[in-house]
Amino acid sequence: MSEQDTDADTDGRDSYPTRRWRGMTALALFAGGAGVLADRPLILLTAAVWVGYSAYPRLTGGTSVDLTVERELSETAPTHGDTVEVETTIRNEGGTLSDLRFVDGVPPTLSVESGTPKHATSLRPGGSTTFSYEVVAKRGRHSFVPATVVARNLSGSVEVDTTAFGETVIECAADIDDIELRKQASQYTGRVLTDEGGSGVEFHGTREYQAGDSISRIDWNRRARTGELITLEFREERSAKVLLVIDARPEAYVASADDEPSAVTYSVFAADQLFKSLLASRDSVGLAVVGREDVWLPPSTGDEHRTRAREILTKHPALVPSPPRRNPDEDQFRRLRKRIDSSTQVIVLSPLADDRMAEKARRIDARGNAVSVVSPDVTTDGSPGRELAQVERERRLSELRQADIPVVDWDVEVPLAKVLAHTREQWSG
Amino acid sequence: MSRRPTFLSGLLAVVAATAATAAVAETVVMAAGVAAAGVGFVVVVAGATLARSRSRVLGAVFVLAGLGAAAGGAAAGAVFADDTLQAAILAPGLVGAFFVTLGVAPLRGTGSRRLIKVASWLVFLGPVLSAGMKYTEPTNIIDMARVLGATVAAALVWDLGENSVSLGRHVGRKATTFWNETVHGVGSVLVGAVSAGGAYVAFGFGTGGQPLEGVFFLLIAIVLLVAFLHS
Repeated sequence: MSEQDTDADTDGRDSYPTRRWRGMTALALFAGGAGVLADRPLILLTAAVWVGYSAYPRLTGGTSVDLTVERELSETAPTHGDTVEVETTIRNEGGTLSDLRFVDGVPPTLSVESGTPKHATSLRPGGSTTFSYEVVAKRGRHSFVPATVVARNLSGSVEVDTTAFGETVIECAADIDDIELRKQASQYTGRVLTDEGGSGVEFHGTREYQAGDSISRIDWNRRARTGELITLEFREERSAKVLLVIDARPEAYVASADDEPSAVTYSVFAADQLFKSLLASRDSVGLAVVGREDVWLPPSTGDEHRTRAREILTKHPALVPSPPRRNPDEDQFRRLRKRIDSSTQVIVLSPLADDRMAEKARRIDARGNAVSVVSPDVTTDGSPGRELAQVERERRLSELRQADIPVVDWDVEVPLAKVLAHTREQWSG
Repeated sequence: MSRRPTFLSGLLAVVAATAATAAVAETVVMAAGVAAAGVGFVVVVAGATLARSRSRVLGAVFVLAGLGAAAGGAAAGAVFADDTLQAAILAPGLVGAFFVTLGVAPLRGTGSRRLIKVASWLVFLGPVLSAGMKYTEPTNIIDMARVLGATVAAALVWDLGENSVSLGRHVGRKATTFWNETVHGVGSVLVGAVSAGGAYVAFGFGTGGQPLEGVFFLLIAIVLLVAFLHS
């Protein structure tokens, strides 16, 4: 019933002064000055209190955060629509945290039904606290994302923003069973129908018998009728080698509203789903991220590979919910292109919020790697700027389609599986 | 939207503002008037909370009743004042209490740090003005305690009010925040108590015949030392 194990992100990444005690020195001097000018010792005396408060933030040092997070779920494998109670326990592994604010990393795809995933408390070293809330399970696999942690020192003069990760997954009957792949295939047997004749299921053509052809493929009816020895050919089914490329550049961190998950979160979610379904159909799958840093997991198969991919998708710093400060250099794209071999097809996951990713997708496709694009749509209307972004994105989608690159326009309100099923007809390759 | 200022610290900030003002009232009747106004402000905060969480109508009734009580208390204080000067000492503090109420009541937005800061300055004026009324060199202990206590409370108005707003913005008011607010508040009260106590002891041993200017320059030296020591 419990899902635990954790480790925390411990580097106090962003520590900055809050300046909340800033005016105190001024008040001390004001009171002191007034006391002297008016010749009133008692006013001067009050200045001492303000001196005390202006010294206070300097007496309380910085603060560093070292937390472990554990979650207990009332149900780890709920069905769609079930309410799952999440009990989060935060343990302080470092020094005293007098002021700790914690926002649990609820999977962005799930909504909180009752209670709140937020908590504020004060923890002594080794101390722990537990709070709970309820989420509604939806179809799919939902990983908790790193929790947001804000800690202040006792006076509140220094604030540290960081994250803490505890791996927890709510899994609810998987949804994508099939994604239509383009024709580029490897030499291994799989489910991509090729235009090459051979052994398979779907009829492809006939040719004259050659020594070595399997006798099961000889057209015996024809042999009986005319005496000719003809071999039936079927379309060969091969497995594909697929690379999922997640767009996690600063431009991809777009969201429909401030407290909504960004497109990157949806891309990561989609990548996880696609990875699983592709592996299940014996395709070899790889993962690459363009963003904060290079992430490269070459296409492969197997459970261990799946675990590695999941590690990257849930924990890798390149995929955290906040955008990187710098843009990736051109080299990142160059390195990526070098790594993709000629038999790999590429699925790009990007909100297409700028021209760059669409252009890169076209370029990779032109090189001979079949590219498909899954694009979470987080645009909204309501202001001219937003509508412009919407129009721009539409333009990019249609340009990609004109270049014969299939694009799944994923309205994030709709389950990905449904969208994929809907666009399957268009993905006939 | 539940990112409104948290209840406990917000309420205590309002209480601190009125307590500081009541402490420097010259007569018991005036102190009672200020206290009544303070109860009114507390009712306003409670009413606003009620309006958000339970019933709008009931909350609005509370808010209006609270505002009425606050106005009544302030008016009573003014009427029973022996002279206008005494009333003038209390005026900034009462306005400050009203501002901090607006700053932390979950009425609109996520609270206002600016209102709370202004409120803290206004409350700060109360003990300064009150101390200005007293010449007494060997000041009696009650006067000193009142003035110093009110000064600490003025600092708490800002400290607790700001904590309430920032906590609200981070975790919202639905989250459990009790220990966070308590530990923070106790820390600030202790600092105030130690500084006020230190000041009292220093004053008690007497600046003796030393001129006030000397003490003032010493004070500036301490402030500068503190400011540069760690920066």
